[in-house]
Amino acid sequence: MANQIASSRAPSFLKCSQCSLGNLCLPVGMNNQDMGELESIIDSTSPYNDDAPVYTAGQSFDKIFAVKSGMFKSVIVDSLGNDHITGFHLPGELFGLDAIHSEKYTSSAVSLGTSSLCAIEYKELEHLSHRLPSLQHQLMNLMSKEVRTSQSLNVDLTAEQKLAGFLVALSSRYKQRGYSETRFHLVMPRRDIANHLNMAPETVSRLFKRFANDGLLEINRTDLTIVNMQALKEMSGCLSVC
Amino acid sequence: MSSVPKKATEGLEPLLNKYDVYGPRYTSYPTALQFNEAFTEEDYIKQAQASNQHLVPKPLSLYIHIPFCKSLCYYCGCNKIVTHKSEAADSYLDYLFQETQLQGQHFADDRLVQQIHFGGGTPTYLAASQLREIMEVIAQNFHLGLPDTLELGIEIDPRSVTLESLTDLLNMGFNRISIGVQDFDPDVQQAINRIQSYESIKDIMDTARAKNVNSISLDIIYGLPKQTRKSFDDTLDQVIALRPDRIALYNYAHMPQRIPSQRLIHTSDLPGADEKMRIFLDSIDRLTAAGYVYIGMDHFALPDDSLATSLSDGGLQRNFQGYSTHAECDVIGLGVSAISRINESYSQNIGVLSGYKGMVDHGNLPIQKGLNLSADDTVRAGLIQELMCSGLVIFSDFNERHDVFFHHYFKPELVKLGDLADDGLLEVTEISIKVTPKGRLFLRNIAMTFDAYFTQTDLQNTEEPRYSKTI
Repeated sequence: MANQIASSRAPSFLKCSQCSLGNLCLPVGMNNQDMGELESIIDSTSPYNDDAPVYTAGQSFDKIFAVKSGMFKSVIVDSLGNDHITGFHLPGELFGLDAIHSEKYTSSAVSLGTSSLCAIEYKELEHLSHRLPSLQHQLMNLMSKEVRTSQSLNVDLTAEQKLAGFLVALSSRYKQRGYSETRFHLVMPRRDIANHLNMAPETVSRLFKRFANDGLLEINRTDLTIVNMQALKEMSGCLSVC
Repeated sequence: MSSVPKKATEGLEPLLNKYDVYGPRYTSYPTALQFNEAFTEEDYIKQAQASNQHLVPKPLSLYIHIPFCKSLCYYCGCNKIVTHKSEAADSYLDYLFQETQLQGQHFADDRLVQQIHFGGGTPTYLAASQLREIMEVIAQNFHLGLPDTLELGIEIDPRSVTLESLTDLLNMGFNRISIGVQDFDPDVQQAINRIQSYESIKDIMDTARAKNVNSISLDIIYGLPKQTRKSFDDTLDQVIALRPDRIALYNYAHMPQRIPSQRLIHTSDLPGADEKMRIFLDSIDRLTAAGYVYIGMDHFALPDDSLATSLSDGGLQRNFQGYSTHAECDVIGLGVSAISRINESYSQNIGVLSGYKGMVDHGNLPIQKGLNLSADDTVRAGLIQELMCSGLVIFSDFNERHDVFFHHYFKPELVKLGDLADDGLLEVTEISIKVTPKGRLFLRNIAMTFDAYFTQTDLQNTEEPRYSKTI
C-alpha cells in the first residue's frame, strides 16, 4: 500500500511555478525564489487508480499530500468497523494534516477515480516554513480552513440543509479552481455522499429528486446543474461558505 | 363540399418499394447482433453498481420470460418450448426464483420496480397461482412501486385461458394485457396452426374491461399464409369492432432458414410482395380512419391512450417490447433468453433451458452475452431513440445532452439524410431534424442512417439476411 508513495524528486512538470493550482495550494504569496525551494521538497507519485489507498489509518506519518488532479476521500473507521468519510479532497487541497499531532495517520486516504498527487515530506516542509514566512502563513491558512470545514459539519442540520450545504460548498470549491460553479460531475458515488453527510443513500436520492422537482437542480446520471443557486444557498443556511 | 377524404397512405407505394430493404427494428441500439460473449456476469454487476450510484437512480422494469407453449404457431420466431408437461413449468419456476434472488442483490433499496411484464412463449401457460408465486418472489427481492403506479402487464394466448382463470389473473392486479389475435380468418388460422374464435377474444376483453384493465392491446400480423386483402379487411373489421386501446400490426418475416417451424408454412400460400404491401397500406388506412393514431413502427393507439398522448407530449420510449410510455427505466430480464438493459449495457440470458438451469445452479446469473456501450454507442442510441419516439431532434439540446457538436459528429450522416428529406420523410433545418407523418412509416430506414454497425452488405444481402424487411 505504502509503496504507492514510492517517489522521486519533482521533475519539471511538477513545478509549482507552472502548476495551475498555485493560487490555491501551498505556494500562495510566494516569490519565484521561495517557490524554487518549495519545489525541491515535493515528490511526484504515480497516478492512483479508482479506490487505491494513499495511506491507511495507523500508518506512521511522514508526508502530507496535495491533490494534483482527480479526487481523494479521507475515511475513518469507528470501533464497530464502520467507515465514515470525513472529507473529499479536490485539486489544490491538502490532506494528511490531521496526522501532525499523533504522528500517525488517523484516517485512510483513498482515490476516487484516477487521480494524482504531490507528496511533501512533512519534516522538510516544517523546516522550510521556518525560513519562509509566506509558506508558514499559507500553511496556517489551509489548516484554519480545515478546522472551519469540520466545525460546520458538527452543527445539527436537517438532511435537506446538509445536502444543500454540501452542494453549495462544492460549487464554490469548483469555482475557485476555475471550473463551472453551476455544472459539475459528482465523482464520488452516491453512497459516499450519503456516508459523508450521515444519511441513508435512499435519502440522498430522494432529496436529489425533490431538489430537481422543485427546480433547484437538473440531474443527469451523476452530472449536476445548479439551476437556482440562491434557493440552494438559502436552504443550506449558508453555514459552510457564503 | 363533398370532397372525398384523402387516404393516409396515398402516393406511398413508390416509397414503400424504394425503402423496403432488410433492416433492424431498433428495439435496442446497438442491436442484439452486436451482443457478444466477452460480456460477463462481472460486467453486468459493475453496470448494476454504477446504475445504483446515479444521483437519482432510474426505476426498474422487470421482464419475465415464460418460454412454454401448448402448441406450435408456425410463424413464431420467439424463444419457446412446446410441451404439455406441467412439471416442466414447476421446475422452471424454481430456477426463475433463484435468478430473481441473485438479481435482487445487485440493486439498491431505492430502485423501485415500476413495471413488470410477462412475455413468452405463453405466460398464461402458467396457472394464476404460479404467476402469483412469481409476484411474491419479486416482492421479496425487489421493492415494488405503489400499486397505482405499478404497471403490470401480460401477454395472453386466448386459447390458454378460461374466464375463470382470467378473473384470477386480473384479481392479481394486472392492468395491461395484450392478446395475440394474429388473424381472424379460419383459413389463415389453419395455415399458422393457431385456431381461436372472435368470441373468445371478445369475452376476454369484456372481462378485462369490467376489471378496470386500462389498456388492452391486440396483436395482428400481416403477410401470413392464405392472407388476402379481402380476408385481412374482414379481420380488421373485427379488430376495429373490438376497439382495443392499442393495436400492434406486425410484419410476418418469412425466414425458414432461421426459424425451423416456418418451414411448415407453404411458401406458395404467402401473399405476394405487392399484395402484402397493399394489405399493409389498407391496414393503415382502415385503422387511421377508425380513429387510431399511428405511433410508429408497428404500433397504433386510440387518441386518449397514454401511448398516443405521450407521442404528442414527448414522453414516448422505445424498448424490447416496442413502444412504452415509461420514463426511462433500467430493464432486468429474467428467464431464458431475456434481455436486460442496465446503465450503459445490454445483456441477454442464455436461450437453452438446460444451460440456463446449469448456470443458475452454480449461483451465477445466466448471462450468455451482452455489450458495454461505448461513448459513440450511447450518442447514437440517444439519437435513434429521439428519431423513433418524438421524431424531433433539436441540435442544440442534443449537443448539450451528449456533449457533441451534431453537425460535426454526424457530418456524413447528414449528407445521407438528403435523399430521405427529398422523399419527404423528414425535414432538416438549421436547428433540427423533424420526421414527417409520412416519415413515421420509414423510421427503420431513418434510424439505419445513423447505425454505425449497419453496412451496405446488409442492404444487399437478400440470400441470408441478418434482419427482417423494413416494411
